[in-house]
Amino acid sequence: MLKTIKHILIFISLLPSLPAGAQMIFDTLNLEEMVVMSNFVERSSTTKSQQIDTLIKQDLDHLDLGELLRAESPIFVKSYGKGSLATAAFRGTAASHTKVLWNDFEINSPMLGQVDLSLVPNAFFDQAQLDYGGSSIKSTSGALGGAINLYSGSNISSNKVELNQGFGSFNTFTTTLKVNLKFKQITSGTSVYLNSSENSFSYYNNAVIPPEWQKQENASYYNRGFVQEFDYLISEHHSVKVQSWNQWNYREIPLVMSNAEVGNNEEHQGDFSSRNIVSYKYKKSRTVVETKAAWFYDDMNYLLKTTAATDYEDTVTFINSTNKSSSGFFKTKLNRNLSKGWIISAELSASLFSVNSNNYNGIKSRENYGLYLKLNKKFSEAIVMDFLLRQQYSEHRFLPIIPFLGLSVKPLKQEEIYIRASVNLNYNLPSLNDLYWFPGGSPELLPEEGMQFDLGLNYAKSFSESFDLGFDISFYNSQISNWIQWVPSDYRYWTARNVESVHARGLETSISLSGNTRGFFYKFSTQYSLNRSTNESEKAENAGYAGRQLIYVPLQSANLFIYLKHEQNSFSWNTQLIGKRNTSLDGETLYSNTLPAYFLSSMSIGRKFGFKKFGLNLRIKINNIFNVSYQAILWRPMPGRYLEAFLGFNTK
Amino acid sequence: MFKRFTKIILRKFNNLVLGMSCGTGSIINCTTIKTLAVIIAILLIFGSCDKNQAPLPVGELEHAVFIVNEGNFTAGNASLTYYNQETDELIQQVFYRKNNAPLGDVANSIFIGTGYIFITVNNSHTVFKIDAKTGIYNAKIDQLTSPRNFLKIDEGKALVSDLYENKLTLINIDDMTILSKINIGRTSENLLLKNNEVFITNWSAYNQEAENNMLMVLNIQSMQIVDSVVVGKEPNSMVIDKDDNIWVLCSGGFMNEEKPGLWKIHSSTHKVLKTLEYDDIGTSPTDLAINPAGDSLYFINKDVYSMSVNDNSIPVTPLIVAGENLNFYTLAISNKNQIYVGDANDYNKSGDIFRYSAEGKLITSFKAGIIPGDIAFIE
Repeated sequence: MLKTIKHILIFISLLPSLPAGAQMIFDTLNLEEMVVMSNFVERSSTTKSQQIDTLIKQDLDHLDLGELLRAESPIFVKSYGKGSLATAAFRGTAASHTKVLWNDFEINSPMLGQVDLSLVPNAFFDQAQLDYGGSSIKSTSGALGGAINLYSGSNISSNKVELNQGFGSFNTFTTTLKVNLKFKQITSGTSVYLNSSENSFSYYNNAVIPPEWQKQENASYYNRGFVQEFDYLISEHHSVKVQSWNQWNYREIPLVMSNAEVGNNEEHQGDFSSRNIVSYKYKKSRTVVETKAAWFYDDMNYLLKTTAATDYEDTVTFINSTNKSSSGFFKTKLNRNLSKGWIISAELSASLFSVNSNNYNGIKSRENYGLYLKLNKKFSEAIVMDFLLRQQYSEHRFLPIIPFLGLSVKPLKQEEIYIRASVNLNYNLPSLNDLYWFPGGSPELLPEEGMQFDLGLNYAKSFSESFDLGFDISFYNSQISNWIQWVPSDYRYWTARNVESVHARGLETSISLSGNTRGFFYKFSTQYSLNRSTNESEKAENAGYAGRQLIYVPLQSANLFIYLKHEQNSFSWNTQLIGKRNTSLDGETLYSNTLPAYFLSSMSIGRKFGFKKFGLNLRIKINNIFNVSYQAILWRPMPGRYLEAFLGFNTK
Repeated sequence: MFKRFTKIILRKFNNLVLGMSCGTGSIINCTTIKTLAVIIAILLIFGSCDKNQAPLPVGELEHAVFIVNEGNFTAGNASLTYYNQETDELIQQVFYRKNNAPLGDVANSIFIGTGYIFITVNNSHTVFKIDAKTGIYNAKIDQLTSPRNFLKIDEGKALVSDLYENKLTLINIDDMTILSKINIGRTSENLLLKNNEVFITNWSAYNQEAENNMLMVLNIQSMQIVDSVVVGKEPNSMVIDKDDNIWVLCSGGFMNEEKPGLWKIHSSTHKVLKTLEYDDIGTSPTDLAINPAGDSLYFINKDVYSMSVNDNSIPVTPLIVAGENLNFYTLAISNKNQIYVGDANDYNKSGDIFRYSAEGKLITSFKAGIIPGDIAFIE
């Protein structure tokens, strides 16, 4: 095995030498149905947005959004393990400051205000766009870290079936099925996702005395669901779309490592979610009008049952938490290109959330109304300006107006260099748990306030067919006040309070190289981010932890992706670096206060087989190649090296 | 050393990856590739892991004050802090550094025995037995349901109370095995031995139909409940005074259902001698402690209060003021009659221990682990 790895490493180390060391022969390679999307959306944009690379998404289509973000973005994903809860810390902020939208509607839980990224299969969206910081105001409010926009329903031009079956270590099975059908003006897209795992990997448990190899127990999970979409092109200018995403999830919740040998816990969570959207679109020359309505339903059940240690029939703890939420949305948008380089966009929205939980006193609901206006002006080819306003009305009061001003300048006529700068305010409403959880919820909570600055540079150059270069660097600075935190009260329970003031600043940079040469298509991309996020509240000053990095926000993170394709063969390599993380606000470097940095690398090799009417493909993937022993969360084990194999079928 | 290592790595990387010739006419120039290679090398260097704190040599822990830090629920970050009363020497993470394993999940209490210390780790279902002089692990018992407090009742036996189970566990402390389960019909919290009887508070209402307002009396010969006394709701701490009277502090309930109260009970007759009621139903006093002379009581009610065992009312003026910035969470009186108060801060950051004179004058303060929950002293 070591020899194999050595050979692979040598191969990778030689990759950059291929175009440099050999005689350069440029030829044209006809790639088979491969859409390669740039890492950069609209280089002249006044804000930073990133389109997730299609190649990476293809590589990770059997996994979830958390895994995709880890591989292809500087967003830190805090995960309790494979198949377990995974939340995002975008630009050093909290999980509730990352908003995830599916076809323009927020899927964040109205109860928690956050999204469990492990429950979003990559197979259920076609494109993912990351809107950093103030860039998120284009699509939503309250995303103090940023927004992740997922889009499904790409244009269907012909009938097609794709079936992929994955087999992996620890009895992991993944099936994805895509069926696209076209009948005259009606198209239908169906995606099915079935995923299950026993997740019983072995790990060295050094949290027990004496330390020993153990198998992860009570950690199995499954996700089953489908997305169905219908698109009806009424006429050249009018179309109607219906989208429905239904999913059932179940996961066992494993014990912390120190408790792995003892106790008799039954702890699991079951979810059902249904997300349904109906939309109408009118598009004619310079005008687009879109009206959408949506209804989302979530049903989450958490169960904890423990028994006496010596008598498993004697139940001593039984918690059965039932939480149901129903959300209705309505949006209507207008987009019109005016003369002299002006574009105007306007949106009216309304949403209603209703939650029935045995953790609240009765059914709780909230209504939000929003108005959005955007003016975009292109002064010349060199200067673009954006001005946005958002106004929300919620809980019988108007929130302060959210303004945004952005500028993009192209200083050199001959070079694709863009410098962008933006400044904005933003407000995030408390979640319904913050307001109504019993006990401890506080209906008097104020929205969290963010003031964000962004400065960036984007450069792209296509030297020839054999070499495209992309580079981007961003500096950001955010001040978030009224940060909501659950703190101990004078009573026994904790309460939600607007207590913290957080200063998040840092930089993100990425480099991308790609091209065709000597029959090869290659792509190399790397990203690095530095996020400094500290609590600067008066409380932190008094308690002595002002200026210390927030818990579970790594100061540094990076990733590297290499893709190589030659005829029907493909190879990909991904390395992620997660820097040291604090697990407490304490500054001392005691073991439990910090977790060390770690590297994770994965590699996959694939081959396609073409037949007259159909194609087959085979791919083998090795995860955690170097068998790194690491903890993403303190005393939560993660798997060492493991394998996956995929067999795919597609019609032509 | 680090610089030298970095140089070697970069040189090796340069040789391996950049050693190729750069053909003329190449579109990608060598500088670009070198830059990328250096970035990768830097990333590799950044990825190197930090060393954990070095293990402690086997040495004696003298004049010891041990602080058990609960850590966060399900985070497994409980710890043990050592403080020398004479020299102010302070060692964090003693258990981890002596035994190369974490203490576990939610360490609740510590009991000093003869030659050994017993630490109850609630959510790890475990009681650890460690050497009192060195902190080295000796044995454990991990088949407990939700252990809270430990009480040695004779040379070879101890009782362990339980948050969820309506039984006490009788264990052999020599080989750390379970001898029997004693059904007491309610959950149990504090344990106190006097005259062959163990007094048991029923703090948690979990897993029982009856109200949690009882002091039970267990005869250690028969291992049977022989009496019970109704006290206030949620009795959370208990001490015995110079006159052998037992004092029980009741917080009034999780949702402040009734006014908190302090109950004085005769240890032989089990009669209630006195009940002192707190004025404010909204408060939750905890952590009743007593000085070595057995004539002054101390408790936390946001601030620290003290009173004589002869007083007939609850004091209204604090001895030590916590103010807005301190979160007093645990309290103990040392064998030298000094007051040790644990501040849990915001529960995510390491706590502090404040050491005061009996009159409430600050002597010194030092750091502990996350959520210092119990303090014990070795003579």
